[in-house]
Amino acid sequence: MVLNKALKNKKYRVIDIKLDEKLARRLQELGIVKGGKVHMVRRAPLGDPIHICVNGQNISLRDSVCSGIVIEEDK
Amino acid sequence: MFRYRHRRRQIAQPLEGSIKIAFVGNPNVGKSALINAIAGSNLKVGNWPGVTVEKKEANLIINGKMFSLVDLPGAYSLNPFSLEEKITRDFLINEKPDLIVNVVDSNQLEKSLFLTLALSEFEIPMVIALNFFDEMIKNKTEIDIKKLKELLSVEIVPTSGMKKIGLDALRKAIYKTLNEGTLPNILFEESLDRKFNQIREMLSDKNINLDYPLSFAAARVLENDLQVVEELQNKNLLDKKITDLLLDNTTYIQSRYRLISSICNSILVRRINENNLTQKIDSVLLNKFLGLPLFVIMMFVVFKLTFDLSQPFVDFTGYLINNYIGKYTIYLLWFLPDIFKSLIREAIIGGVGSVVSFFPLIGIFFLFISILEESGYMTRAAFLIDKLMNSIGLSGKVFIPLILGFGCNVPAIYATKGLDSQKDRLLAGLMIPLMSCSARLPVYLLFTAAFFGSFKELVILGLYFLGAFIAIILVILLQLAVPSLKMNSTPFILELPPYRIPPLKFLLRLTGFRVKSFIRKAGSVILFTMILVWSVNSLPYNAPPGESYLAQGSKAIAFIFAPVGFDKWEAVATLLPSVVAKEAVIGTLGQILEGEQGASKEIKIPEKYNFLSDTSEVIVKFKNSFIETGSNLLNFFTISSFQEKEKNESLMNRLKVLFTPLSALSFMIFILLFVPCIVTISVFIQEYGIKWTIFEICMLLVISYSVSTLVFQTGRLFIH
Repeated sequence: MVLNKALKNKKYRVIDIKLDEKLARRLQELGIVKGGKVHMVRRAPLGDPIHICVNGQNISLRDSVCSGIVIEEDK
Repeated sequence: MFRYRHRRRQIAQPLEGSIKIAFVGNPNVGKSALINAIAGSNLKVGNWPGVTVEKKEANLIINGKMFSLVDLPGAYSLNPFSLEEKITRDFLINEKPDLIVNVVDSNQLEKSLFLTLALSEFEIPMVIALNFFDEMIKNKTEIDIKKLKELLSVEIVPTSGMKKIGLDALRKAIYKTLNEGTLPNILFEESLDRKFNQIREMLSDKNINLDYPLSFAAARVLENDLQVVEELQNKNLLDKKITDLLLDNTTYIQSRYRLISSICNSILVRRINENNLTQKIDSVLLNKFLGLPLFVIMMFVVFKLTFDLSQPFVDFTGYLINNYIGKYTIYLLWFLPDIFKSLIREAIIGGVGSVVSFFPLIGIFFLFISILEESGYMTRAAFLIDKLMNSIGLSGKVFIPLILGFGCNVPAIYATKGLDSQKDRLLAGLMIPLMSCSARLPVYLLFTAAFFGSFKELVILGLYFLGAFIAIILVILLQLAVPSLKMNSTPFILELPPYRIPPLKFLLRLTGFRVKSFIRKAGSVILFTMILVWSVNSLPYNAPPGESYLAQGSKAIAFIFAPVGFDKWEAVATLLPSVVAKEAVIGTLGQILEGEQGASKEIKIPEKYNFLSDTSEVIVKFKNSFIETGSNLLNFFTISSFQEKEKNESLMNRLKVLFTPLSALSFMIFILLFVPCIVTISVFIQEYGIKWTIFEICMLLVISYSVSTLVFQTGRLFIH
């Protein structure tokens, strides 16, 4: 599944980033890397963007970016 | 697991001339506060050439040596993603500073070290400032500084720019590093380290002058950076031996992160989990149901406080300069001919007055904007409202300058400095003059009272919406028409920094500093315009208002405005003075319509000079402005600026001869959309440069003329 389908307050593991190279690189630099953990914190009241937490760092990403981040539930 | 190798140490060139020190760090690490604390009043704020990215620099002389400090724009990495990062990277490559001060957030070492490792590749001596160190101690976290120092081979200093902690130690570390010329270690995981060294040696053997530092080039080749690899390939520097070693950048970054987390594991002691106060505040401020209402309240409060607190002081400063300082300056200059007295009083002192009377407004505004920015709420606001702004291709943060524009365009333009991308800054700047500022309101109040009676509130509200609506259309069209603005150059990735309570002293320092740069830069443009407008308005001297150059010129070009509905020269004559200040439209109409006695009456009616009573009146007025501010605060929920101060019946009657309701509407729309006031223009030049200012002015001329014409002509069809 992709990050826009993530449920509030759940933890996920990134398995792939399907975005153009520049954008993918920036996400990785912010700690959103394959195999890394992502905590979905909330959606903005208007439904977009999404607030996630990576390595203790709070980041806001738009739906259009999240749809390129493939995740699975972290057990 | 991982091997950290100490790399060559070498002595940098002996120090001579001016020593360039670059401050580099992630966004939100308190870098500006730190450089501000070190440089003090020597700090200068400008823009990087050709772009609207803020550049802070300072020249200091310490022990007879000249130091030039530069605050480079915040960067997450040096693979430029945003314009800011490109500026930072280009500066490090082309300007080759003598030393880098890497400002790091002690609370987010993992994130910050990514940049630190990248900076070490530039082969420039480095000092690390562990900023927000006080917060880290509060969070009960410890960093093994000695160990980190050994690993990276750099001096490390705990600091807090906001609280002025560790500044001396930082200075000492800078001297020490400059004298010793130690270079930072370049760390890699073992497998990458070998490849990196091989590439570095092979490039070094080619013995060709690279445009980049050798290690930087080698690291870029290793991670297969498209730009650098292509450049080197074009120079035939990459043979098969090298290209065999290339990785892809995912592998590279993953390796970097593994290295960083192993470093952090070995130097960080966390006694309790990180501070979750921020999460708690966010769960209220970003709440699904509470978030937006709280945002609206917050905006309302900032807007009200900025304009209600400052208004009495703006009025007072205007009074002080025009009616007191102006009056007595003229008194002292009694020997001058009247024409010079009029020039000095109306143009020069008036010009100075219009700059100075903006102080209270700009000061209070900057104070609030600094609170919003430094506390961390600004990015939350952007998060909340992003979807709305995204629909017209902008990011959420643009909303705030636009709202401020309804109060006054000048601080609104300054607020665009805080936006994240060049595109947002420019488009917001182009939109702001269309936000109907409070100086335009008196014009609407006068005209609607004269022509629209009971519909007047509706008409005024309509004007506000019209301005905003045209701004939205404009932004959409500009993005379609200008290719560089079309693509969303920086997708919206926003860091939500931890909440902080910025110390008041720091906020005041920041505010004072920004106000000073306003005076320095806005002054000359405003003065020039004031003199120009005075000349056309008051010359030939002692001519009746109907025969001034302004009147003659207006009569000559009045026919141009026939399609717009105001072919009477009197209406046309208000347009130029409206550039001095929007409310000057009323004064000019008064002067012209109410005959000669209205014209420059301040000079002609003999003034009484009683220094003592005038001085005491100034003091009373000063006291009253505090009382008025207090009462504005008490009447918090009434919109004070909407109340008419006085009704000018005789002027309204004269207007009825000059305008029909339709042409009055067309005139108000024209004033709404016309060229903004000179203070806005001078700030616009400061922020966006002369080219975009001319573009904006021409665009507004076209828009105001065509929209007013459209309204007038359409209206005529219905009326006849």
